[in-house]
Amino acid sequence: MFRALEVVDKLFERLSRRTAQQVSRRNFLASFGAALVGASVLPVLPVARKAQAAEDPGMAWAKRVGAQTTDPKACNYWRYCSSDGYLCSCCGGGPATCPPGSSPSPTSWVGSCLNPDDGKLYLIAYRDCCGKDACPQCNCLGTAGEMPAYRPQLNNDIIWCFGGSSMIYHCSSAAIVGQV
Amino acid sequence: MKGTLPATAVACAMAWGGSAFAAQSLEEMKDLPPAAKLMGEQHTIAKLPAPHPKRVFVLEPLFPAIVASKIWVIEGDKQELGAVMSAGYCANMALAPDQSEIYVFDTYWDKGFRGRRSDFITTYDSQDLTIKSDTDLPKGRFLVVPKKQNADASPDGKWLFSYNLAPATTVSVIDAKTKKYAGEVEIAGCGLIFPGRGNRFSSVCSDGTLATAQWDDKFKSTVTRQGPFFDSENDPVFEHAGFDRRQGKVHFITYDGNVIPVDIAQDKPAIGTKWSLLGAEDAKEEWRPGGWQLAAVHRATQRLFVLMHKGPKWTHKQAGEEVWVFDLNSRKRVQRIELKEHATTIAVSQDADPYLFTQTEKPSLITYNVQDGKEVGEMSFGITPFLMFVGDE
Repeated sequence: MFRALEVVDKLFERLSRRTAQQVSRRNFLASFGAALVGASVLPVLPVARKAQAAEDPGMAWAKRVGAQTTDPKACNYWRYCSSDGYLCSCCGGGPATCPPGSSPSPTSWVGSCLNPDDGKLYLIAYRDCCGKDACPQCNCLGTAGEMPAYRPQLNNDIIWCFGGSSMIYHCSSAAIVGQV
Repeated sequence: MKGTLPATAVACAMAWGGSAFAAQSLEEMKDLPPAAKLMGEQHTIAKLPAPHPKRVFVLEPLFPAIVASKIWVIEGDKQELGAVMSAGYCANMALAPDQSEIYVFDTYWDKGFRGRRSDFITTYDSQDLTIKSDTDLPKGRFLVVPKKQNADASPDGKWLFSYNLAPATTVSVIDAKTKKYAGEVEIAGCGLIFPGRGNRFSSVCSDGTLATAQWDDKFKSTVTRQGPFFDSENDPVFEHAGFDRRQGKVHFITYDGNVIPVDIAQDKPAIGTKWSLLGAEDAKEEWRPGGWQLAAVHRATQRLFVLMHKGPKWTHKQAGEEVWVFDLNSRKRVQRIELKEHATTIAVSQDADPYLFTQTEKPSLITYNVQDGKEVGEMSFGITPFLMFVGDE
């Protein structure tokens, strides 16, 4: 539990730093966290809930949909346990590659999914690729550990293009950013 | 070709200007065949009938072309399409309490999908659908798959509200009469707008508390917190509740099927006791609430309608197989309506013989008569409709 929280805190910090370096609105993510949950409360990501839940939501999803690691164009590809929207993999990109002409959001929310090959949980950054109208291919909805938008760090309905050059959603990606 | 009137000639004449065309006399139309007789039918513009309880507005964020949205105006009593309205990116809407106006909360870029962004509220006349005004939202809007309580009108017709996350969480408040932007109310760490009475609204916060904001005539605002009234870690409340806005009663529904009533009509909202939608047998069968706009209240009979499906935890957006109807006074289930097609969004008309409108996954709009649970009709339109609004809710 402690280790998981530590990972999340560091990750959040690192993402914040990277954002501060990369985007015009320099303090976006730092103020994002503070404004949303209050300066004294750290965001609680799915991994932090793991100890309390009967079964990890990412593990339960993997079992229910028969998660696989070979076809990123299918909704049951293991990283998509909390992904919502059109898959970048079906639009000229990949799970961590934005299609030509679009760019990844420097901000994202982070979920945790089970890789069925090694049985380990990984932290997945659900960054949207932004800057063009939607690529309406391979619509998938994963809701493992997904929370209402009053807890924005855990919500997949939000247009996650904050801090980038465009707020227009093109497709959904799922980059591995850590391991629990 | 001589002696015939090519269709293209007529089309061109019309395209070059209606007034010139209308002013042409029969003699001036040189190319007409000798036997032609103009009929001179004039165009009229339709107007929607006066607002009525069985009209339902279906808001569709058109995901395949995401910079566009549509609002389908459906005459539920006749099962007919009354009109379609245009809107932009992740638009939202609200109805004036007297139903004289429709408010569309909107976002556009001046080069389509790029360029300068503008956020504003467009006010439409509710019958002829002409635009009455645009009101700029200087702080922007929260861009998200639309949910009703990110934008609303107060039940007294005094205020319009629009939620922001940029990244501070605030609510833009607009004077609904003058259509002037009044200012921003900060609700740190909270979301959603449930309009209360007077200069007041309540919001749900990430720590499970209820925030209630109020402001004076000079727009000086204060926010008070109550609770936590739910467990935001393990059993969060859905963003769509059974909301009886006229009486200021919110029946929050949790992922695990609990209901938490909150009376926001009072100065200090009253948080009621929690109850469950599920009996022991229902829980064993893994019934749970889910979908998108998953609940509705019929005010006169105090009935709560909830979309239900069978599934494990974290299937909270799964479409419902049935709608369960509860008496809010006895907290007992009084009816189960089995749905012909699984649905993600529901609305209930507020009249004495209510209709239940269900937005299905196909998508289609299937309407049921609440009295006997029988289907009234099915209409197919749109690609990704999400929300429904009825008058007087």
